[in-house]
Amino acid sequence: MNVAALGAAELRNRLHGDGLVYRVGPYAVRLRSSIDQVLSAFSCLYADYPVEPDDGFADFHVYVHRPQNLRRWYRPQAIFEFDGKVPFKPLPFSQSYPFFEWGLNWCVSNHISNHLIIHSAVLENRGQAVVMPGNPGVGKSTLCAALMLRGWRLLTDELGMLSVDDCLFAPVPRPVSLKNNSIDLIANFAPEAVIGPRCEDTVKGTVAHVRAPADSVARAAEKATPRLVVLPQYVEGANAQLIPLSRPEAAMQIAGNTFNYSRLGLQGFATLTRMIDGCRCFEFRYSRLDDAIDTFEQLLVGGEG
Amino acid sequence: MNSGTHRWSVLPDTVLHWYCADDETLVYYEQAGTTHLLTATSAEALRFLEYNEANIGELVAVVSQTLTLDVDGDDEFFFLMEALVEQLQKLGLIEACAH
Repeated sequence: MNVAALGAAELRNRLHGDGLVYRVGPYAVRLRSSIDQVLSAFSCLYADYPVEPDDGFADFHVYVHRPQNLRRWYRPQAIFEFDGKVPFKPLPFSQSYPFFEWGLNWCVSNHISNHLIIHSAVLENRGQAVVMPGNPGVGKSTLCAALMLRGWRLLTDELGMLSVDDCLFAPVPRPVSLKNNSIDLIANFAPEAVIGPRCEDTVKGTVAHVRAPADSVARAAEKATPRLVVLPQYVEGANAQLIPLSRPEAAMQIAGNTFNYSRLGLQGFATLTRMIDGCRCFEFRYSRLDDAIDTFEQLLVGGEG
Repeated sequence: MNSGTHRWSVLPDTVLHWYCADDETLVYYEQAGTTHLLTATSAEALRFLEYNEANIGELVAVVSQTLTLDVDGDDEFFFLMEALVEQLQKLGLIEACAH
């Protein structure tokens, strides 16, 4: 059963009650929330995700709620709770839904030990996974959304989970987070995209999430083999341009974009170098999404056979 | 410190892990948990110092032979090696030998 099949009333009951347990790739989340904004965004963006049994095991227990003090009414706030603890200061109530997504990112990046977690988008097409590491603002999520809306399988737009055991990427296909101008850019690029509510005045500006394709969610147990590393950089007016990068240089760039490379020690180095050894690596400058997608399609052809 | 007159080696009990591709090298220094990107010249110098002591002149000879570089009488390569050795020292990968 998936979230949509629960129906609105049952979804509300579960979120308001002991929580809804749902699965995203390798982990299960128990989400509780008494906030309608979270309920409506979640039902829009997570319709295709499998529901786990009520009494099933959950890796992360998340609760997003209003405080019990005056801030319930005066400049209302939202609180993110993880396993009964409050790891962050409250945010404005209007940011309840993105707070849930950001908080869950933190849960994953700080509590998963058997994967090298790379701050990157990861997508797959024709058996080849492309890893796009990068700091916020380089155009990574925009490019990721565009590729997934043109048929690439989404593994993640934020947290690439590379298994230390088999060096494959575990899909975690959650909604893709867009910021500011990228929201309208993607809405125009793919009018069929399901985009959740816009939340303004966050620390990142205006944010909105794009629903992951149902096929990506359905294939969340299907790991992918890394074959390409592409470091994207949006440059206004630039033609799409690939610049080859040495594998050691690419590995250094990735190491600087991980959450737990140091914590994993030698296992992190071994996993990273094993991955990079099977990849072709590039820097990539672009300004137009269609050109970028054409370039990625050509890269796939170059990696076949 | 005049690095040219000293003998150099990795720190005692150092364990290094290597990854080489595309004419560049990554080295992981296990004790410090640090990763460094090295050029071919730096990598060959460090590889030698992993199991040997050497001064700059000896490193010039070993590295130029390994990389088949014709540097006979070329002071620039000596000075380059001196600079590389200082960088490796600053990264905490090597030290001047006590004697």
